[in-house]
Amino acid sequence: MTDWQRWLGAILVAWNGIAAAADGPQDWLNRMASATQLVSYQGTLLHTCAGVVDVVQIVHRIENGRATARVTSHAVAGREIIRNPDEVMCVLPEQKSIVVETLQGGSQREDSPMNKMPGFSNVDTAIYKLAMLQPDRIAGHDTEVIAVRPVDEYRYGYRLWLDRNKAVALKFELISEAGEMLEQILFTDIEYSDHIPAADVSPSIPMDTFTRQHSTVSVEPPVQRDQSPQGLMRWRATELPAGFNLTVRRSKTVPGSLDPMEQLVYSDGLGSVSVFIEAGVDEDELAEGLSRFAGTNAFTTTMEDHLITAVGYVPVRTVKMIALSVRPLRESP
Amino acid sequence: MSQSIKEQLSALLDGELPIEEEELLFRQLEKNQEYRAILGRYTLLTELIQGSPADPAVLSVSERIRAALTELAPHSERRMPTNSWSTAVKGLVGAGIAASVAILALISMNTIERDSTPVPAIAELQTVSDSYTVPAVEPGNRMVITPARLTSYLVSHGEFFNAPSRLTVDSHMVSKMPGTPADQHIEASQDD
Repeated sequence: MTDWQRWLGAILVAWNGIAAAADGPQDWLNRMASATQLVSYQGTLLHTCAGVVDVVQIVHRIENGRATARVTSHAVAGREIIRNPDEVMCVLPEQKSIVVETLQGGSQREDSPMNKMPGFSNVDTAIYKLAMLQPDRIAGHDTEVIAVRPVDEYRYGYRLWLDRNKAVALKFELISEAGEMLEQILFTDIEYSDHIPAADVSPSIPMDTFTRQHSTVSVEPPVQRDQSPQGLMRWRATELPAGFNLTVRRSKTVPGSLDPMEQLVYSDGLGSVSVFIEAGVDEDELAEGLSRFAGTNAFTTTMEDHLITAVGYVPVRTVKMIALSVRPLRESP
Repeated sequence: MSQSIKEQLSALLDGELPIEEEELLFRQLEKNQEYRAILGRYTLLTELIQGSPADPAVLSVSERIRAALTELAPHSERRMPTNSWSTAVKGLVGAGIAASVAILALISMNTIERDSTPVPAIAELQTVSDSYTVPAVEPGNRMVITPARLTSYLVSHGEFFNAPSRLTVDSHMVSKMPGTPADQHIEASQDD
């Protein structure tokens, strides 16, 4: 190597260092969003909620730009969730059942003008404030630490530890509106590989004897059976926290059910709330109140014999506000 | 509980546990609720020692310190460095922790805490109650709708979570799938 080449190498190294140092939190979050679609890996992570820790295996495989992820319980062999852009599969070995949800026209959903999937790229700084925290080291990797803090109490905050080389989130925390950690995932080991076999994101146990519950989700607006001459009846939330907009409207058909379930998705670009509207629900299931599953809140109410539930990774006040504001509105034909 | 297990739990959180030991430890964790609770408290301590001071937006630090420390041996004279999770926990593992350590940590953290949460007096800190529980801990999962319906909703909403949130929710679902025996904390509620 000549002196000239050495100097050039040194300059490039120095320049990269300066460029990395100059990167702000949004640059890192954009990199993380890209890594979700570019980087394959597998590893073990700890999920912590309410002081209880569970161990989970994750395989994240990219093939031709499509990401498939398999999350497997360490406690119950074979209990797993497998997601790809067209399908979600939950394998429940104790119940010998599989719940499959097929997303009809999944690949076209990206083209929909309504459809901006929530994510950390281009965070709206009027709603969330970003900050770089002290670098840290997770699972043997240097990380950049980013805080995402909401400006009001209608959404959660986040802290992310991003691998300095791959921009994959090696640690992630959900922060309540009171500033307390609600949930955390933490990789204890992670292995990056461009050659993860397809079998590693397939169900890990034989399912020949399992029953299969299959539902199909369509992005087309559902046709209401009580459509009137005055126009199409559509459900809509009439009160939303600042920054939330309707991003997706779709319906879900379940075998054996006459009435499709309607789903409205509201998002502020980072957080999201789905409103599910179901008709034909048994009377004893028509209830009002809160359901909570770790950081996920769901508020249920009823209107005109429909069960209305707002679900999201957001504070209680947000799902409650949205659920209680849902109304059937008629639109002109 | 053996010293070795505590050291392994500490090393696990640091990402320093050899892969071959991880699998064995995970099996023990699944079988032993006490180990999982200890790991949960270590995780809280991580927040207190590393996460929270670095992020001044986090509240209730003092209360959570007291709660986490309550569950650890309270009579040691060893001082806890505030800049190293690994060293701190290993110190706790080895010899427990003194009330003076709690004070040291609290004072250190309070210097960068921006909220107006009142900080307990030193005398108060030295008489930590054994029955104190972690304020951040919610009573658990609770349901007004059926677990099967909530599972269906979570599956349908899953693609609209941002990516790290989706992984977090999926991790919780496979660990505590609503309606399965692993979901131990269902509690009825009619309103919030």
